[in-house]
Amino acid sequence: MIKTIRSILFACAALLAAGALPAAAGNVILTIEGDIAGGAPVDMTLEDIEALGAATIVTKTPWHENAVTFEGVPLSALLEKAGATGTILSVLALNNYRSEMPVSDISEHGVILAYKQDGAYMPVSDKGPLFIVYPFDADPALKDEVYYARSAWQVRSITVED
Amino acid sequence: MARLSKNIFNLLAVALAIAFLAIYVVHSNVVSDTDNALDRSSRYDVAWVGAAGRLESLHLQNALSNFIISSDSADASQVVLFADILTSRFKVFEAPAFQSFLDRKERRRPLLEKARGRFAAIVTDLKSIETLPTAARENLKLELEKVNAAVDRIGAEAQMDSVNEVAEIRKELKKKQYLQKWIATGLFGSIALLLVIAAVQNRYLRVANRKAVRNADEFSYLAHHDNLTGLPNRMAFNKAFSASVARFKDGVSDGLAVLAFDLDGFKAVNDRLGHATGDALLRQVADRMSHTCSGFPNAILSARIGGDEFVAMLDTALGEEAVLRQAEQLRAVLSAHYMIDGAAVIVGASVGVAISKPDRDPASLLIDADIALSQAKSSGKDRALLFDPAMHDLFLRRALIQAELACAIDNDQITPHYQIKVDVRTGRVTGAEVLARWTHPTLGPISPGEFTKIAEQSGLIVPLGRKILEKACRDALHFPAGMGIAVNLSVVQFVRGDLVQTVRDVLADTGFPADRLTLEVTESLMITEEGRAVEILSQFRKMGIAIALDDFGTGYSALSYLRQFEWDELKIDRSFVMEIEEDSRAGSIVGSIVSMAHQLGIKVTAEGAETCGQVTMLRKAGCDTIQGYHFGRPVPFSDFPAAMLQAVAASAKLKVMEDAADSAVA
Repeated sequence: MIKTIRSILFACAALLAAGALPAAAGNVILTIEGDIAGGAPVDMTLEDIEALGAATIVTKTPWHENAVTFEGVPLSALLEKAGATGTILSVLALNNYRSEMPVSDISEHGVILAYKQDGAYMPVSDKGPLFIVYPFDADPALKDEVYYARSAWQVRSITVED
Repeated sequence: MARLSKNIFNLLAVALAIAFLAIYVVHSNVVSDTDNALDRSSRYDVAWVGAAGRLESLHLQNALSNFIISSDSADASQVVLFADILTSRFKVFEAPAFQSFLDRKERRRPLLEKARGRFAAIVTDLKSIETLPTAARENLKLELEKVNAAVDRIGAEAQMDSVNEVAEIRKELKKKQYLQKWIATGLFGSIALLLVIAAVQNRYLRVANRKAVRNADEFSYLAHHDNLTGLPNRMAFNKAFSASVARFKDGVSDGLAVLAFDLDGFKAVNDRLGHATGDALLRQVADRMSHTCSGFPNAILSARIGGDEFVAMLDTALGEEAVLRQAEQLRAVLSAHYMIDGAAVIVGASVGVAISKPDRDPASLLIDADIALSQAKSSGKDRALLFDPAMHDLFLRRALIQAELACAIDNDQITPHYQIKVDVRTGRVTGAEVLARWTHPTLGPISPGEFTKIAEQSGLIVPLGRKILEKACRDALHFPAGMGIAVNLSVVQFVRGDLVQTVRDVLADTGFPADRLTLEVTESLMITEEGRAVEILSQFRKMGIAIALDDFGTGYSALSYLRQFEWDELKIDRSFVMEIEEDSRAGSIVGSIVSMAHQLGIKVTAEGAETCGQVTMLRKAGCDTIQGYHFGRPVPFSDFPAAMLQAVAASAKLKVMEDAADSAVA
């Protein structure tokens, strides 16, 4: 745990140096890097992401009182678009939260990168702009701290690793 | 012991069932508790929410401090970003799991709500930080420090709570594990106990099974052996017989022979020497039987199937002749005298032999052997006789006669017939012999020799004899005056019932004069019941009834009989009459009998005269009266007058012929 916190602190420092990114239209809100086609990081705007198609998950989460309808791009579509070849996604959030998830989760559970919650785009002040959502209600095995920890919100970048 | 152990087993089984049930209940509770614990472990997220809140709040405060020092717009945008992020965090604090964490301590919620209020009051300013004057920025920093302190405190407590909760959960899990270990131990123990019980019970069952098998063997032996002689019994014989019959039918064996044995005179041994001697005799018979049979290579089984009834079963591999020889050998062995308690006991043995034939059901072999045996006994005893199908018919006929005899007597189917006796000197009819005749509706005429034998065996001869006597007396009342009747008596009539009283009653009832009645008895009466017979016959004579000795010359013809009783009449057997013309010695014997009888004052009657020649010879030999077909066959009462005329005619014709012959000689 200390290690995790430490890594978060380091990431935090890195972001401080890089400067903040506002979540306005036309702005880059997601960067995909690591083992992807071409090797160079790919920046994406909300429009770029929406263009990849949409999927919906209706589920309860530990962070909401009632069931919520999430709408977003399937992570599989996103990784396909980026030409990702790795097995692990290292996800970094705006709040410097960093989590890792196996790529296999995506095909197994149909994980999405949500940008809408109950029909509205998510602002940073409410877990926006991007939120990794598992269909918790679809599989009891998902109601586990491991998957809760992988459900990062305020996602800023995804690094594909081997 | 067995019952006790069974009860114990039942109790143990019930106890184990209860134990299993209890274990199941405890186990399912433990499992559901564990589920709850896991559920709680998923609230571990509270720690992350708290920790992340602390970092975000700290980050916002640092960004604000940096901006106050640098007035750099990059720092300002960090302030704006983290103001949004902290706003988001406060929303996350509203999640149910975090709420229940807050509720666990009273002061938490007010603390957090106060911080939320403070932050809400400054968030707009924070997001437009670049436009604020310096003093306001400092103020903002002080307010944010208070928010930060509260979030830091709450976040730290969330982490601590989680740590404590995890520790508690671990402790609980450990307890459950411990309990589950005991449950597992209990289960294994129960299973082990069950196995032990099963093993013990199995042992009991094995012991019981062995005992049952032993008992069954014993019972089987007892069931299949005669406990007096140790020979196989009827049941064993039947089994072996069925098996042998099946083998014969299947063509496995060539043939089968059944030998049925019966001791002649066993009843007398039992009656006179006692049952102990009878039993000893049977044991010796059984010993001889099995010993002799064991010397036969073709013997299958010898058995005792009834009181003094033994059977031997042989196969016919050695041929029928050999079987007959073996039957005769067995009969001879069984007939040899026995030594019992130092005394010789003599009994005879009769054997009936039945041998399987292709055209006859082998299943009837035992019955056939029995039929042959009864035929052997009724035709003279102490002999071996082979069954032939005619015996079977005879047996059936006898059975039918036996069954219908009583009915026939009641319904007057058996009636007296009369055969005329002629005085050879005068040619006059002196009387008639009464002969019982039975014309059966389906069998036709049945000879008296046949049915009287059966009637004697069943004792029906007593009512039959009385009925014939009575009827004959009534009929004879209609005969010409002075004409008498002669009625035969059986030995059985002397033994059973009161013969004297019966005759007296009949004479009284019918009014027939005693001096016209002759009663005929045979030699056998004098052999078997001499004393009693003489006494009864004497009473008859006193009543005026004449007594005749029948069939003289056939049996022992002991002259002593002639001395023991004052006979009125002697009847020479037909066997002498039939040969009197050809055999001069027969003529001499008849002459001697007649002269001896006459000297004793006894009249002589010859029976069975059929020809003129015989009649002439008999007359010349000195016979007083003659009876035979020459003068007439036995006729029913209704034909008697005609028969009389015929007899007189025959007599007259004879007289004429004899006179002619005499004058021819002269």
